Amino acid sequence: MTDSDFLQQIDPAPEPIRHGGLSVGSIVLITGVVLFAAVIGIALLRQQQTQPTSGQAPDFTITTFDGQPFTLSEQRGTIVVVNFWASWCAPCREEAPLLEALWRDYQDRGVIVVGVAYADLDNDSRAFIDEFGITYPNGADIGTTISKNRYHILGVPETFIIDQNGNIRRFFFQLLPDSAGGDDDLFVKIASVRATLDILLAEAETL
Amino acid sequence: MINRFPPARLRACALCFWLLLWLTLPAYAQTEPITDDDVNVLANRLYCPVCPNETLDACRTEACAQWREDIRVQLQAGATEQQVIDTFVARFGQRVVGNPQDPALRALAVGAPILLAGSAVIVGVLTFARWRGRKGIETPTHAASSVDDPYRTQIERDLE
Repeated sequence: MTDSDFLQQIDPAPEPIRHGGLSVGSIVLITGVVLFAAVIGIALLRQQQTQPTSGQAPDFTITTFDGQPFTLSEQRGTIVVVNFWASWCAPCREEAPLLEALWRDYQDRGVIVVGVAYADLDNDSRAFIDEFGITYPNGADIGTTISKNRYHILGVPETFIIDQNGNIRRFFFQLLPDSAGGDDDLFVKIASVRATLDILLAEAETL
Repeated sequence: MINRFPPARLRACALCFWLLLWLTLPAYAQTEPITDDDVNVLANRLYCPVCPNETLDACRTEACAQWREDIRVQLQAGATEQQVIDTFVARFGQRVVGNPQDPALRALAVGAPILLAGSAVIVGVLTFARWRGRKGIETPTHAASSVDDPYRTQIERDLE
């Protein structure tokens, strides 16, 4: 035995460290962690989604309380004011007569107001409609899929103005009477909404 | 003496009587008043559709009061607890219940954390066992080479 053999024997070269070759358990664990992180990530992203304020309005179909189907995409060529409301919502009670007035003024000029009852009981919704003498179409958001999954509303009331091409042109929380103290982008006076509708109607005439 | 009610007819009459009695039972059940406790037991299993993480029995808003009243009306009409829950899910979506109603999704929701935790334990145990095994093998290798090697033994003896 030579000296180098001897040295090799008493101090063998270290085994190369393995970096690859994960065990089945490790693969399962890593996959699980990745899936878990993906689920949490998707949930967080969905939580952060807010109302669409521009672009194509998400389509929906409701059955009105009169039993008539209403599909948003079938209203192309007209301006649609989509209002989310509930009978238990106090601001909705203040807003309802204003929306009805708006509807009466504009229904013959190519504007449709449609109410979507959010998280409400049918009987309560009907009572609300009767109480305020609402004549524009209204229907229940069954399963709250329209309000939560498509329009991502945070509460009620919320209103979207959709132009003749199906694009969202304005979004606001609540309609206020013109006599109200102040307004901003989200709490708007009825005169401001009328101005928006007039602009959209004028745009359609010039095309 | 003539038997005016032969046994066969008597049995038929008794059967009709019990049948009629059985048919009236649901009506009797519906007339029982539904108490607030009955409503709250079920409301405790449902979440308020518009308030975050609040059960329907604990929620103090007017909307929740309306929904609790709706539970009472449904129970009074003879609906089972599951039927009431199904109605709420259909109307307000899955978020009114704490867990998914779909059996596959529910199994996934319950099974996934258990599977993940189980995998973590298995991997941990296997890693620890492998680490202990490697350590156990490495130590005697050096000891054996130092004891059994005649060349080394000879050198050590010469050095002494």
